[in-house]
Amino acid sequence: MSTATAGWRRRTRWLRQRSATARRVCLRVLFGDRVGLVVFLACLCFVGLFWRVGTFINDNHTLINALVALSEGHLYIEDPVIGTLEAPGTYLHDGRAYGRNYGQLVYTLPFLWGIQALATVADLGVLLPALWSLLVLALAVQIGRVTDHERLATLLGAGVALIAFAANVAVAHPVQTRVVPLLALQASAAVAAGLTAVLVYRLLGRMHGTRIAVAGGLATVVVSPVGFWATVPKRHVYVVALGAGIVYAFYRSRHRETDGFLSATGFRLLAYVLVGAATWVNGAEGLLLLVGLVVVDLPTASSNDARTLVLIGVALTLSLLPFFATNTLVSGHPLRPPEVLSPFSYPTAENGTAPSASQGGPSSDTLDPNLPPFLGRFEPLLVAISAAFSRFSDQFEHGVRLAVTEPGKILHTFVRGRYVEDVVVDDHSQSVSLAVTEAMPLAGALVGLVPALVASGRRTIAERGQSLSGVRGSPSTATDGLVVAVAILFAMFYLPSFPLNAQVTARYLLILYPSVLYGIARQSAVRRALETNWNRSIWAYACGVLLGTQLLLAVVVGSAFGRGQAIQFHAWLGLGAASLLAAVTVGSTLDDRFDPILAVLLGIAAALGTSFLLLSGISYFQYGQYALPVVETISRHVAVG
Amino acid sequence: MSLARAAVLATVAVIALTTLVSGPLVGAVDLTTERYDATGLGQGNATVSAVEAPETARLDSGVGAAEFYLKVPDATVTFESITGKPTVSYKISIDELGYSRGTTHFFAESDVGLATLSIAQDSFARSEITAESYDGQLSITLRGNGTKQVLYDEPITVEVDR
Repeated sequence: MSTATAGWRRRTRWLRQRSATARRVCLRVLFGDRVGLVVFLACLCFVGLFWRVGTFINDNHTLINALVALSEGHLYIEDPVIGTLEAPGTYLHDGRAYGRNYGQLVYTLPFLWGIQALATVADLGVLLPALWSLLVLALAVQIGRVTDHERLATLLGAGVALIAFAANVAVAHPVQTRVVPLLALQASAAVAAGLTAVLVYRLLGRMHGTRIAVAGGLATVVVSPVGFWATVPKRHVYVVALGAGIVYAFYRSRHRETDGFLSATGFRLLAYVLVGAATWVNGAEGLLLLVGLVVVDLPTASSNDARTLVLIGVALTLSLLPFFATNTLVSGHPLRPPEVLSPFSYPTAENGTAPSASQGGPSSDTLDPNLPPFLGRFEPLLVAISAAFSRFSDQFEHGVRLAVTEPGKILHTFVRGRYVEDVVVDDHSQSVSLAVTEAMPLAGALVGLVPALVASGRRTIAERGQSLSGVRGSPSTATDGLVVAVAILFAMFYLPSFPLNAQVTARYLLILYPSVLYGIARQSAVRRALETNWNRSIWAYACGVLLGTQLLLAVVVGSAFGRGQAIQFHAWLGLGAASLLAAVTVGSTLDDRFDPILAVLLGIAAALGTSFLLLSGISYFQYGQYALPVVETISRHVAVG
Repeated sequence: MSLARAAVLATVAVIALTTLVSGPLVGAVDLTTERYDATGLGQGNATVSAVEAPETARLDSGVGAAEFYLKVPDATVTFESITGKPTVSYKISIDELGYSRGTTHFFAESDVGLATLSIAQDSFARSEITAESYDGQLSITLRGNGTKQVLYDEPITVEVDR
């Protein structure tokens, strides 16, 4: 053997080892472990089933146009590639049109480049089914490895992937290359949704073991409305993913483990860095996450020494730099995000020939005149910050006031929606708005928290008080606090906006759904019922999805329901299931003889959530063309008007 | 090499190669077909022996939903013969609501015999529907070779089902 060949061999072995290490590190950092990867792939395969290549709401146009502008190297939109510049969310400053949610757009850029590259060698109409089949194959291989049935799972997966690909190609239609920016936004959103599921899995896995964690992770995308918005170019899933990341990092920061890539303080800093990233996607929601994190983190941290606080401040500031940068480029002010500028409008006879000047910007509030003089130099900055906070706290306060004075609003937003003429008129005269519980009947199980909390309250009193030191000692309890704080902040902040059109599943409150799943998984009665009755639950879920979905569709198509009628039909069924589930969860908290029924009801309620996602995707909301042509063929026969 | 590994490699190879070969770079084969073949649409003619259309339609609210959906039953047309690709439009209009909606159906030579025409549902907010019934007009029109033949044009009663 020549020395050249030996050297080459050595180099390839070295490369192979390096790439295996890199893969292991990627797997751990992104998915935690192989099961996390399975959760991720399963969510993407599910979402792909009803991926419609099209725009759901007209403000999707803004993001597509802004993404194209960004890929051309500037933030202002020159010529819209889709729709008009008057799409909601397009703003005007100094005569130029701008988009919003720049964090989301920058994160989407690699997806855009990837799909652009693939589009040069592949027909998009064939590429999308090809990618889906490869995902199915990857899922099967990983399931095989996790369950030690590698051969069986791989062969099955390869068969399914090939058959699905052949069937899809047989009925494939061309997909125009001009939809590439839309595809990029949809793909990046689907990945964000999948990562949300992974984070829920990782968090619950550390608290309650693999099974509960897999159930909670999968439910995030397959049962909850996160799946509904997973391929819609809007900000929601990105903020939810970052929120889940914050909660996970917070939980890890409360442990002194040595197995992680980051120290406890490292995770604490990471939580604040993720707040910065969320702010880049949407300023107000970033602020909500920041307030929630600060309120829970500072009082429950084991130490708040000066060094750590400075580090937190630096981490947060650094993570906010991209937000400040795009704000400055758009509005000339680091703290004036596009959302506070005036909406773009084409010139009309009344407003003259040039687009009108910006009316937005921080309000003219001034600070206390007794401000220490050295702060005076920072006054413009402080004014902007205080204006942002006061706008924020005004809306929050308004929400809290409404919650007290108009409890009906809480009821209609969270439990049972109602017919609101103005909203329905804006939704093409169809009542398609669901309350939180209607959109995810599993939420009924949250009621079990009431007796559980009463019981633990009694125990605490019996043990003569448990103060913050107790919370400090328990990472799980502190994490509960963070989830509750964030959920309440989002709920109160957006409460004044409801009822609102184009929400379908109360999308402003999307972060509540994984929070609710977390709240369900944290109940010991629910976990006990599942752990002792897994088979019952899984059977109930499988029957519900496989048979129930078809039955629902038969009723909806057979009775020629309109879209609003179909969705309200789901709402009533969901409310029924949620009420039963609520009652039985309370029962189980008091007496474990309810456990088998609870397990079955959890399966059924979850199945209703999945059915809603599948039928919305395949039947009720048809737009654009389907990524999987076979699904498109099916959808033509089950359209609902 | 194990069977499982071979299956994975073969599957990936088949999918990747098919995608490449049908892609713009190689372009050996085009695997996608246009959704609709629009060539020669509206060119042609047909002879119709029978037309049946409903005399009543319904405005119907339903489980939980309070808005109204206009449900027009299907009509049927019997074609004796078809040449080319004529179109048939099935249309309802309700003047009192300032509303009209039609659906154009495409036919080809293979469609001789009984054909069903339908109109997609539209919805109305609750405040729009104030009467107990509305008078509408239902029409079926055949178009081909630039000519227009009205096959059916009769009033229809739209009953409100509260």
